[in-house]
Amino acid sequence: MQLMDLVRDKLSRAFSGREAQRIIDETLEKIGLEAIRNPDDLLAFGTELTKHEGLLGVVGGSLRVQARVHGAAGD
Amino acid sequence: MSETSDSFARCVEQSERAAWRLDDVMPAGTRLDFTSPFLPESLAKTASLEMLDARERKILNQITANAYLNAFSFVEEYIIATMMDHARAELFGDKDALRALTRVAEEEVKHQQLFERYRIAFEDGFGTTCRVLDNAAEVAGAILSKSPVAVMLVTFQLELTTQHHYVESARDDDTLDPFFVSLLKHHWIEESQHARVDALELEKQAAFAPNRALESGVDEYFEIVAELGATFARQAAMDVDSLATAIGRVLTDDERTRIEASRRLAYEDMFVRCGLTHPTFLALLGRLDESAPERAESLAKTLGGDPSCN
Repeated sequence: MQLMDLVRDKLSRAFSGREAQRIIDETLEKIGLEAIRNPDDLLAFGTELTKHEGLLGVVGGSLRVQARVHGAAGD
Repeated sequence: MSETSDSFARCVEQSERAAWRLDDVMPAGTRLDFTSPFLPESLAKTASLEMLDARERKILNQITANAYLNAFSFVEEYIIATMMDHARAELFGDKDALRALTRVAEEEVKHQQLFERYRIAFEDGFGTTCRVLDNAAEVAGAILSKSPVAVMLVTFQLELTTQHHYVESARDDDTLDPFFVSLLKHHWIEESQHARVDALELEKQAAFAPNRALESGVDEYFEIVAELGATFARQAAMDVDSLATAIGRVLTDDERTRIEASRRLAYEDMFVRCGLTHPTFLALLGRLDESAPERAESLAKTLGGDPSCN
């Protein structure tokens, strides 16, 4: 499984599939990435999500931890 | 154990079958029997200390056993924190992984409660005070400051050692205190399940982490191992004082030096070398960094110790 699939699956479990894709597209645009290709990209994506309140912020926090567990270097 | 054929679902299933209740293993108010040694000689390493008589060697064995359980309680402090982190990473992800990781964390807390019960019973029955490492939070902080790959490697190593401590050392030794053997058994039963979860987490890290993170993770693992050695050296020094108090006589400088060296060797062997040379550990270490098993084996040779760990 690729990191992009992992993010899509996680967001789809928390929200609907269509909503997940909307969140992914908007968030990638905000952080200036085309896709999540490595743990550093995942960390940036998760960090952006944590700026939201509620469930989306919780998912963002989980993705940040996942990025670190998988070797993200930046913050 | 075969890491590659394992899955988190299978880990949960086997963990549910193997789990035990704290009150069944050590009911509150249990009193210890100090008639027999607690640890097998292959771990306690008191036989070569000919300046001690049989009673004194048994007392040193029991002091070492008390420090052994305290040390596990000590490292479980950081293991709980890291398992909670790995579980959080699986929120809205793999539910089997989430269950397996939260089970590990819950069982590690249970082990700490078991060892705390044991510590109180030991203090009540032993007769004199035995000093043990008490800076768990500080050591946990130092370990958790390393990379997640390094932290999971040292966790895997420590959990694998319980197999050697019970299955290969204590299980068939009828000279030991049966209650202490039962503690080793119940600890091993759950830690052997935890080691399988560690291996799966390390495989995930190997799949997703960039090579630089894996290589630096392995380097930091070796740094943690060195720091653990220094921590156990502190325990060894405390054991000499505890022994002198318990046997009620002054030890000469030479006797103190030799006893302290024997304790350092015992702890290095139990907590570092046994895991460092475990074939399952070396196989997984090699998947993260192919030169690492050779480094591990070279380090193990400098520690000396019990060749039966291999």
